[in-house]
Amino acid sequence: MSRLVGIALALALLGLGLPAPGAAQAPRQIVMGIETDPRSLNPVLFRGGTEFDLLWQIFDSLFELGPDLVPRPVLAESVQVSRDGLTYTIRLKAGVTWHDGKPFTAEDVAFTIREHLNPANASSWRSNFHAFVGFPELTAKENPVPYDALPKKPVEVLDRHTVRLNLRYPYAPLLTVLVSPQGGILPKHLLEGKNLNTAEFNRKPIGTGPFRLVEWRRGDRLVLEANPDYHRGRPPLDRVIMQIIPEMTVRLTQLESGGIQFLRSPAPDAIPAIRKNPRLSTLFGEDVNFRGILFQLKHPALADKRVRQAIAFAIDTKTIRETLGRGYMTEANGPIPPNSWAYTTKVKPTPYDPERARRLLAEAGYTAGRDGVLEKDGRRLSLGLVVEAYENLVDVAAAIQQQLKAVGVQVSVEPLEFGAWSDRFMKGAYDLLLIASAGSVDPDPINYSLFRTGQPRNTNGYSNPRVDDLLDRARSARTQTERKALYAEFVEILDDEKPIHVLYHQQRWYAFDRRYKGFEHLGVSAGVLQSLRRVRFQP
Amino acid sequence: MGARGWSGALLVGLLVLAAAAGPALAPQDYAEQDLTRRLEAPSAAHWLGTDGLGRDILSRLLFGARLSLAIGVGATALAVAVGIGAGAIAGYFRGRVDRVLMRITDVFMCIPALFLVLIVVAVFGASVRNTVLVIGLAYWPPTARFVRGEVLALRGQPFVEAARALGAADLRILGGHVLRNAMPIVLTQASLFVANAILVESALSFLGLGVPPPLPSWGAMLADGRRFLLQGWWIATFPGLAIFLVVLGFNLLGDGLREALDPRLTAPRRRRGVAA
Amino acid sequence: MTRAVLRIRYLAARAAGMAVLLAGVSVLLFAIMHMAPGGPEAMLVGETFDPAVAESLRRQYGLDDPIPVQYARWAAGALKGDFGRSFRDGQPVLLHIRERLGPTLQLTVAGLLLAVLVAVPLGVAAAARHGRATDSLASAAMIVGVSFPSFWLGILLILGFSSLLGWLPAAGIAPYGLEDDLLERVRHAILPTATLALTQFAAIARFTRSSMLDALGHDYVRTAEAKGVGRGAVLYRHALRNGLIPIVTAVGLSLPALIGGAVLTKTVFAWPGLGRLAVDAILERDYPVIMAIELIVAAAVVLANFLTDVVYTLVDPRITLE
Repeated sequence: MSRLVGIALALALLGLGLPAPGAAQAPRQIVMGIETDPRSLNPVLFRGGTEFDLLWQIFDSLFELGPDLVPRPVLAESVQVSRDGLTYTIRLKAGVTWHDGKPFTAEDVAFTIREHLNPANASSWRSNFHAFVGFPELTAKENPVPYDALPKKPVEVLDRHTVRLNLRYPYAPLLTVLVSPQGGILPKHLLEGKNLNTAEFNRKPIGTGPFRLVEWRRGDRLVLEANPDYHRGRPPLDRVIMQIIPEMTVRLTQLESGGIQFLRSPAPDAIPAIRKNPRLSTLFGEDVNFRGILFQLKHPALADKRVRQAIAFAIDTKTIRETLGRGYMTEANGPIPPNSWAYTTKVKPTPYDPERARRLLAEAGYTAGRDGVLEKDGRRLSLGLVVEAYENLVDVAAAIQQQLKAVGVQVSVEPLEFGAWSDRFMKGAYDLLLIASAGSVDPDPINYSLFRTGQPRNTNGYSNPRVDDLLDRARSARTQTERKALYAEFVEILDDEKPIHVLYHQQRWYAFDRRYKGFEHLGVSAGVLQSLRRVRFQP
Repeated sequence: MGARGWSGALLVGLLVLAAAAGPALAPQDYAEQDLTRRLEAPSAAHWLGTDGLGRDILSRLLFGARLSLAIGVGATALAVAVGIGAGAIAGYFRGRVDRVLMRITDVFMCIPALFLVLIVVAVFGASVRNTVLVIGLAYWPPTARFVRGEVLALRGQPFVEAARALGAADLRILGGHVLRNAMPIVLTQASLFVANAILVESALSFLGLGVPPPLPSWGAMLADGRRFLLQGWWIATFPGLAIFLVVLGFNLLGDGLREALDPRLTAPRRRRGVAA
Repeated sequence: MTRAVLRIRYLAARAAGMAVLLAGVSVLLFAIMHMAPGGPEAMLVGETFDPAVAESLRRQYGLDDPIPVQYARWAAGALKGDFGRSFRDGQPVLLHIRERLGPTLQLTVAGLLLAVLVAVPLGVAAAARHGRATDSLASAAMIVGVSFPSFWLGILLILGFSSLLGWLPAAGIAPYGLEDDLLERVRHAILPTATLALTQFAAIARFTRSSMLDALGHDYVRTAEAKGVGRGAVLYRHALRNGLIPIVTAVGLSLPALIGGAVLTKTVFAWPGLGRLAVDAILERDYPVIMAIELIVAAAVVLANFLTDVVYTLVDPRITLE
């Protein structure tokens, strides 16, 4: 037995003498730290999280966003929009091949859009395709019409490299919902007739993107290799390794020690140390997301606009942004961020004004009870705050809890994992809900789904005919000027009625080994990953 | 009880003291934040520093003593109560009741208790009440097994037979004689259970299923502090130390009690196979 | 002949008992999950905000059927070795499990082995010097070992050995391209294995100590000593051999705790094992995966108990299988 101990010790000591990993790594590869496995590597089933990091590399979309957040062609070559805005004729790039060598054609595009519209597929973004011809018939609750029986098809293949998209109404943001990563195009020849939800393809994806997946060891890592035939040029890096490390502290120590070379969105408190490290570089930028509190309007107290306004006035977002956010949070006046063309300067951010909050609550009939918590008709103003355990939102929630306590509103914070959180969100089972929305490049998709009467994501019961009208008109209006005016009025109404109180827009930052050049920020979730195909190692 | 047992008792005593007097001694309320003074190192103003929300760690530790003790003792009390009940019933009535109850303990004992706790908390939500209930209900089988064994062993002993001959009712016999004999060992186990329950609570917090904020359970403080290990060592270190010392205390106490109360030194007797 | 028949009958009875037990486990878990507010479909459709999709998914996974029907279908599949598909990604549950089995076995077996290798000599040493300083020190070490929250210990080890000293890697199994490099694998395994072993060795050491104390008091040990057999031989050849039964029991009993404890270790060290899969599944309410893992773990525990009983007959010929 003691001999065995000796061997184990010898092995251990031998191990200790070796240099740290990363010291002898091949320079043309990069190891990136991610927190969990992606689910399915299939753009139609895209749900977010680490799928962002992967899908961007493996799949191409018809379009991608430029640095100005305007769509530009990738697999598309040109677009022609009909005068009525109802048909989009898209000419596709020729000579593009899938990772398996088969040619990419218009059939693949038609197949992908058809699968997005197919209600059997677990697509979370299907509502983005609402404008397509056939959408209501395909997804009708009673007797849905099968695709082949549609009198007019949403997508037509005109020739090998041309498709036509047919819409029910002019939909201005169309191109922005066809961008990477959720707009990735699937290979028809590998998936036709398969159940997309369970296809083996989802863990062995084939795309047309700059990298192809060569290994996926679940819970451990994913390995991507450069696509030598990539239609926009072979990426400089030979290999990308996505190492799965659930603990943020461990990810940070790995970054510092060189075990990984790239980390997206480390905790803001870690930034000073990263900036001090001469081996590391950081990249910052604005993002279209927003973090805010949704009010459940069916709650008797929250049905009163004055209570919602009071809560907004009682929250000191400035302090939260400067302390918890260390300044990497952007002031908000509503869900539309300042880097959007639709941002309005007419609406001023809600100031921190606890006195006004107290006045409003008094006007609404609340008086202080024995323990300082406000009451009305014997009912205490005690609210639950459902929060996703994401970023530092639980801290933000705790800060809000404390600030609301100061004006007599009692809040109990309930942190939940994303799955449980979204279950509560979907069912409307909350009083207050801290929502971390990725936002959308065009104001339409996110705001329509959250605030338009009857939309599935409108779970707080907000319904205002004027807002419905504004949102309806804004999605179809021809010019951006027209749309901008409509959204400005929309934000004004939201600011007054407060179905939501948007707290801030979370900025993005990335930390990486400074010998890697070419990372570019893009103001959407994980947008930096779009530039990976141009990143090179340059000591 | 030896020196180790007494040192355990001392640590546990300190915890009880902190739980009793902590809120009175604490310089601040456990929830009081000062966002402008976050992540401050220990100083004269904040002896143990401040956490990510600028809360005084010493104050939170003192308030948290009561919560952590309540969770540990509450869960243990529940586990022991259910365990004694089930074990006594099984041992006393034997036959079918015994078989069914023992099968149930078998089922519980082949699921890692931590998994069971995790599943139930994930399903029903995290709260102090749920945490206590779940830890208590996941850890009753060992006590039940033990008590059953004791009851079976004592059942045939002359003094129990004598009591019955004198007309004592079934329950009185159970309560009066059998349990009194089994109690020392149950207490020993209970001490070790409290230690374990406090560790389980911290594991729950680590996996994001701990008590909701701003409650200062030590497990929640430790789990929260691990985010700041590279920015502020004190945030995780003090609650970690507190947990370590208290768990150590209960373990030492349990060990001491075992040596003092159980002359056999509990070399485990050969267990019957789980399904035999 | 009768002996063989008896043995076969015994084994059959044991197997039947195990089957009943596993069925009990599955019923218990299925029941808990369906008591959840919202039921199991909450996760499956939770992020799909389109009612048409939600309905279609419920249909595809048979979640509209009554719960007993769902259980029967699950059980029928499980009996055929089909544990269904993960709610999370629609892939076969068994595929997920097969991918994690290797790393899990490696860590669990190595952790257990290391724990035994440390615990048994420590327990023997403590017993041999009962009541003296060595005993006190060893006993203290045992108790300190179980008093650490293991995830904290793991993180501290990473900070010390990986971050500060830079001696050992903190995450993963092996760097890319070096999967077959034994040394790399050992280096990556050291911290997680040590953490796991540290949390488990105490119970084993404690049992070793007390059973050794027991054995050392027996006549045959004194006889051996009187015959002039060396101290080490007495301890290891005579006393330990007889004291092994409780030790084996302790090892067997520590298995569920070992598997449970590995959950935390694996999370900290980014070890792609079953425990991590189980936690992810629990947090995301991926019920088919939870059911399968729990069942496998339960089966492993039941089997380990059975093997423990078999080992009894080997270490102590006086005990026969009933």
